[in-house]
Amino acid sequence: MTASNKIETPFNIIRRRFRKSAPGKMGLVLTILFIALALLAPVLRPYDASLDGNLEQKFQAPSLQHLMGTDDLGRDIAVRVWHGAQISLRVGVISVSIALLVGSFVGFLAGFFGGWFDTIIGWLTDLMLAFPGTLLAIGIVAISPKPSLENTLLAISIVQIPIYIRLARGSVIGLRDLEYVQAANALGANRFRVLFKHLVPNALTPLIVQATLSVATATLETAALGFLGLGAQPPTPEWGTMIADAFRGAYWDSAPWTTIFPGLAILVSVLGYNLLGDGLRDVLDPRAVN
Amino acid sequence: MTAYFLRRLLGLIPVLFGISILVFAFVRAIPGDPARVMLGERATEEAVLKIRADMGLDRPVLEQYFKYIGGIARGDLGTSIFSQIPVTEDMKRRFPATFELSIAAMLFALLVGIPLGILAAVRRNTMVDNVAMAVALIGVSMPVFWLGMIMKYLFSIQTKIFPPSARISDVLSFGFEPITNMYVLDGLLRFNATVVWDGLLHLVMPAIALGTIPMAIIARMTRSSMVEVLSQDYIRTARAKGLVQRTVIWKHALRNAMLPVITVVGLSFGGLLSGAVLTETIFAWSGIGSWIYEGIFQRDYPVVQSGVLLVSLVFVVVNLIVDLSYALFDPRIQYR
Repeated sequence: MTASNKIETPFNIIRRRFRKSAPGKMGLVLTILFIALALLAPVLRPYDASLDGNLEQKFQAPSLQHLMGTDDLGRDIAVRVWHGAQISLRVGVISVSIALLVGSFVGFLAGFFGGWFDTIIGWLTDLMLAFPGTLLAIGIVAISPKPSLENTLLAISIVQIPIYIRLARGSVIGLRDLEYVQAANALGANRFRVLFKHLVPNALTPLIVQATLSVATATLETAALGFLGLGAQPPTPEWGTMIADAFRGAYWDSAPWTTIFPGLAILVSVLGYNLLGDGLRDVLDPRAVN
Repeated sequence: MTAYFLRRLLGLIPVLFGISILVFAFVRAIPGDPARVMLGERATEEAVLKIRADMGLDRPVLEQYFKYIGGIARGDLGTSIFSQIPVTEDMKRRFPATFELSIAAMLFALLVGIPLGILAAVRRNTMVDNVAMAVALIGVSMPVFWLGMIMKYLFSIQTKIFPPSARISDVLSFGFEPITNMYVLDGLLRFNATVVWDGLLHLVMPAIALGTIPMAIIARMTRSSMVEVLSQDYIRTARAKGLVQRTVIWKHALRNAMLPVITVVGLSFGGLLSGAVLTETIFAWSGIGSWIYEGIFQRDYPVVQSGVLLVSLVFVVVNLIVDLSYALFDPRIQYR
């Protein structure tokens, strides 16, 4: 309660609240660190997965020379895990962006205009949500001609779309009948202007929080599909695919480092996104009080 | 309540209809010809055509769909292209396996998650809270298959505490006639303690692997719900009456705090069913998850179709039960 008469901008409020959120800060640090690692990988250590490998050095335990040991082809696991970060980040960000854009656009329209469009969209979302997420992703990947990272990306993004439709639709319906919207309508504003200028900016908060948490889910699902052999294909250094190699090649138990480190990378990066998402929710949700 | 129940049941029909169309279309969109997969690369074109005709795959798609729907209505889900066993036979054997595993996983999730959440809420903002929530957060961030492999490495390969895979030891599976195909339950029904114990030992690791994510979600939900309830006036009143902490927590707060938790339990069930695909692969657990997975690779239309249909049916029904169970826990809710 200082006597300062500075007006707090929303951005300041958010920053102040975020500073107080320990998980948020931890998540932010982890995520930034992770993104930096991913972006720097091709700069600091260019890598071609298909040319890698030194059979004389296969199955070496972690040492100073190979921090995470080597696999069945004598490939350095640390380098592969490092480059896997790039793949994981790319799939996570792109798939969630697609889902966020498509899902919230459809959801906003359905919530705002209602009617038959809303009914059909509602039925379709119900239908998609009637399948457990990973299973739906497996199904979508299974109908693509060849398992690949691109198809994984698409499948994961399709699976997430209904979540955003629901969220966006819900928040627009909550705002639709507020006075300021009625005022805009009364002033004769174009319907689309009302939707995109007045409603959408106020409905974004839950979508942003969900997007952060979705990157975590997307990372886990990419790894799961990779593990099932339905995602990225060897020799791509995708983390789930690396674990699958070790499992199918039946050397994961004699050379456990081939499994432990890619899994830890998944765990730590997902942990970062989840912490950040939790922190953002604390900050952006006005009802959340600590 | 009855009217509401009936309305919800009727509401299921369009969703199930949609599911059946979607699954049918999906399975046919999987590239690769099942007849070709069955006969191998070197089979002649005539042989492939003959098999396709035998399987009815040369008929118009619409006709195939109606035949399939008609079959479902009569309880006939077709025959596995790969093993030539009626799908319902496989299902009778495999569904109980996944059911047993899911129940065990859910038990683990509830028995660990709820106390963890309560503890964190009661000791809010202390070290206990932080540790409990850190455990929960790590739990939701864990790749299930990796956790399974790590456990297998530590407890089967290094220390041999738990069996590494399968549902029951080979020695026991001979000469034991299952009733429900849930081995633990069957052991109890047949008063066979060895089978019960053996089944339980096989169940521990897969159940923990599968139950970790729901456990973490339940713990987080219980905490936040409990924190909210504990700040309400009636709790203060209960405390002012001089009730001991235990009574306030377990009798007054918990019942109201459970409502959001039930929703989460229901939603987690879908996660369990798809997590089963991964867990069953790791632990060679012959349930629905590994069945669907193998079916996709073998282009076994009837298997994939029935498996996915079954899973989504279970998922939809569980969500219905969850909605209805609100009334039991929250007397304020009345369905009309």
